[in-house]
Amino acid sequence: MNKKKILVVDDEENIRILFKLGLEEEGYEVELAGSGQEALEKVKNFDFDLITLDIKMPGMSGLETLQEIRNLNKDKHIPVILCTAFEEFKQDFTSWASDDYIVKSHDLTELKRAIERLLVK
Amino acid sequence: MSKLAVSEIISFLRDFNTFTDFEKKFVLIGDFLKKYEVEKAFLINDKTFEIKNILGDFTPSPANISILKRELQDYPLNRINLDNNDFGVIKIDDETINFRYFLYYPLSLDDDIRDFVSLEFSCLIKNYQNYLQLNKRQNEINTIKMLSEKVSTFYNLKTLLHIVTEYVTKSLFCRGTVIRLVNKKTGLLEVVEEFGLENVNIRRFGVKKGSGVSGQTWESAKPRLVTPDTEESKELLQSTLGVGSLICVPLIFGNEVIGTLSVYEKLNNETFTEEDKVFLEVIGSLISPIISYADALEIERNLRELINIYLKDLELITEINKIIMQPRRIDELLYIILTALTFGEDIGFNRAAIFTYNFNTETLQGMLGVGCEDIEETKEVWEKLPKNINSIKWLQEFSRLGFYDNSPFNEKIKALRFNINKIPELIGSLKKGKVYFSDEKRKDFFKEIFKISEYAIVPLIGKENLLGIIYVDNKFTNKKIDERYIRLLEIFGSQASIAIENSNTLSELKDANNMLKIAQQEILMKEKLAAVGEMLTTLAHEIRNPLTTIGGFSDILSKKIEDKNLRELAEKIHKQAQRMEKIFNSFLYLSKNRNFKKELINLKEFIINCVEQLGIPEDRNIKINFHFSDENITANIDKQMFSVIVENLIKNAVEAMPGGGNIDVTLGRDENFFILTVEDEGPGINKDDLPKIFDPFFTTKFNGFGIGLAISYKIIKQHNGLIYAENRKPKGARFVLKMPLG
Repeated sequence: MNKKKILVVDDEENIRILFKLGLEEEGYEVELAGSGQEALEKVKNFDFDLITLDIKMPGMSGLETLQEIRNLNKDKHIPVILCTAFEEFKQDFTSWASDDYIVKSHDLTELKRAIERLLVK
Repeated sequence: MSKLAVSEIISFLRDFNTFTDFEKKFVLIGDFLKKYEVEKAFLINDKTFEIKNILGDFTPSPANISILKRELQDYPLNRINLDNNDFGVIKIDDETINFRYFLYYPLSLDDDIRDFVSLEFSCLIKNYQNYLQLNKRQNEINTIKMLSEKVSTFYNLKTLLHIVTEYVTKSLFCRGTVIRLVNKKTGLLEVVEEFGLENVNIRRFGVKKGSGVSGQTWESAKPRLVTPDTEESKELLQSTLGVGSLICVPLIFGNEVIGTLSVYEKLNNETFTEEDKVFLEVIGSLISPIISYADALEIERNLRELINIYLKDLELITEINKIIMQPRRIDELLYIILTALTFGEDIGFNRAAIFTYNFNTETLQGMLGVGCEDIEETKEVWEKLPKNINSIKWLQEFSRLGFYDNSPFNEKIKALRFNINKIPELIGSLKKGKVYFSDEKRKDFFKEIFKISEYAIVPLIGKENLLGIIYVDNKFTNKKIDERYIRLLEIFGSQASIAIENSNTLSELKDANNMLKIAQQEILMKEKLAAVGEMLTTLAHEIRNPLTTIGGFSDILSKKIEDKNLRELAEKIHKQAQRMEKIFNSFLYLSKNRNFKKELINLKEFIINCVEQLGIPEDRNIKINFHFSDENITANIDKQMFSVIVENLIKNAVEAMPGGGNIDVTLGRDENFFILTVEDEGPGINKDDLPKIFDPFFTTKFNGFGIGLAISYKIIKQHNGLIYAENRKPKGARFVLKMPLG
């Protein structure tokens, strides 16, 4: 069975590394992007099973990136998990066409659970 | 021009009927017309063209006479031009009188006055003619004069009618007189007054129109003299009535027969004459208007009496008002209000009590009762009272005496507390702000409690809702609570309501300083919290990422590193990062206004569960004792928030006792709130720190961030609850949390 492919988008390199380490441990193939622009390029050229997207990024923000990804109108709906520093957007995340929302934590359990849930669907 | 007011006619007629001098009456009508802008008015005889001036002076020229002769033939006619002025013409439609036209200038009279003038003139002219005929008979004239005077000082219709029957009988030297009036309800002519006819078989039951002499007089509106000159009348007089002769005249007012006046059997074997008939007609015309207006006059007199009582009551209430409207404490005010109700002769209820209304629970609570429980006590109290209590000012003094403070009635009232639904019959009145007066027959709540047959309830309505009620009764004197009292109570109630509301406002004002202080503290607290929030929002991202990385990497390291010592170091980094993140999350929690998700929870279960979740290590030697006043207290509350509060309170208590000890957790409730108390046996809170303990970042703990209580405070405030801390004696701290059940 092919490994599921996840794109981690975050402007902070350390977070990218942390997510990569954590998710590879779970058996996912992890691709990284340091900005919204880079992420968009990758999504155009490759197929991903899931994207984790940091909201606060310089340049193109996570929400803008999400909008662009949705505008690409890929054949398949790609689940997107928004990641942020605090909870305040939590109530509205669905209205931004994301599939889930997590608050970043050193403890990746919540993230892993969210991914699992979305990929099974 | 305004329409003619009935009251004006009545007042005019009252003056009008006072005068027996017919010339004066014409002058009065003239004066009356002047009010309606009439400048000239006169009566004219259409046969002789004799002129009778009523107002101003009109002397017809020969040319005028010929115009009048010509024009007055053309009927109907309502104006005529004389000397270049249009005169109004009113034909007085009665063939038996000599002046048949009334002319006036200018044409300003409206229809009401025209009708009125025409009727008055027809009566007046006719009576005037009769009067002139009678002029020779001094006896009758005196009677008429005397009766006119009686009429003018008329007090009571019955008395007047009695005088009339007596005087008519005496001045006509006859057997007796009877007055019958049309009863509008039954439609029959009924005897209202008779004199001297005890042995005469007159018809005393109601007479139909057209039946018998009086019934015929009613129908024809014509006076009738019956003498035994025909077989028919002989039969009637002798067989049926047993009298020699009779006269029956109609009592006419306006164009309506309102009754009849009859005399029976001239004494000394004489029979009644035409002149007697005319005399009787004059008497009839004299009393008819009075009878007609009797109702109106009686009502007016009653009203006047009522107004006097009103004024007296009003004066009293104004006096009381001056006293109750002065700013004073609420308890003193209630005392004065009730004393005013039980005071002196004027209002003087035996007992009065006041209940306040709790809007949320819909209950009435007895506050104060003034009065006694039994008659013995009443006597005792009245003996003790100062003798000069007729001054209203004394009210104030009395209220200070605390006369009824420990009276059984007051105790009884204060012990009364009941739901408003216990008095369903009152709710309607209360809502409308009307005084409720107990139903005579039905048993009800108050009747049973106070063992009385009658009482009244005065609602006290504030600007927005029911403040309470005042109860009054007359248990000992059994004085009827009539309409006047109800009216008084209504006025009094509204004044008392204002006073009570003012007094509440006053005590609120008195507390304003404290309130202001609390408000300031809250503002300060809010500012502090807001500042924290703002700072955190900016810093959140800056802190979150490194924190996540440190924690995440150290976690990975602690799992991967083989060297035990190094691994422990990595684990330590991880633990610290973990702790920092937790604190950080608490800060964030504090910084924003959450939406609550309220749900009904069983507080006992929930609190025990929270404490268990905390997992206080056994070696801390902490014993938690739960005290629940009620197993099943439930509250509508946000679970997550409430658990944060409970955990914080317990954690603080645990941390206050490093050497271990007891924590007492007590849960109770009142009507609207539940109260959670957490008590520890630690050192307590430093007196200076007490006002600061709910501030963010305030801590006395070595390793605390001072955020727990601030969070609790914020959540509690958002739930409309309150929390405060105090020190126990001899040692320890107590946190009291009060939150709404709903």
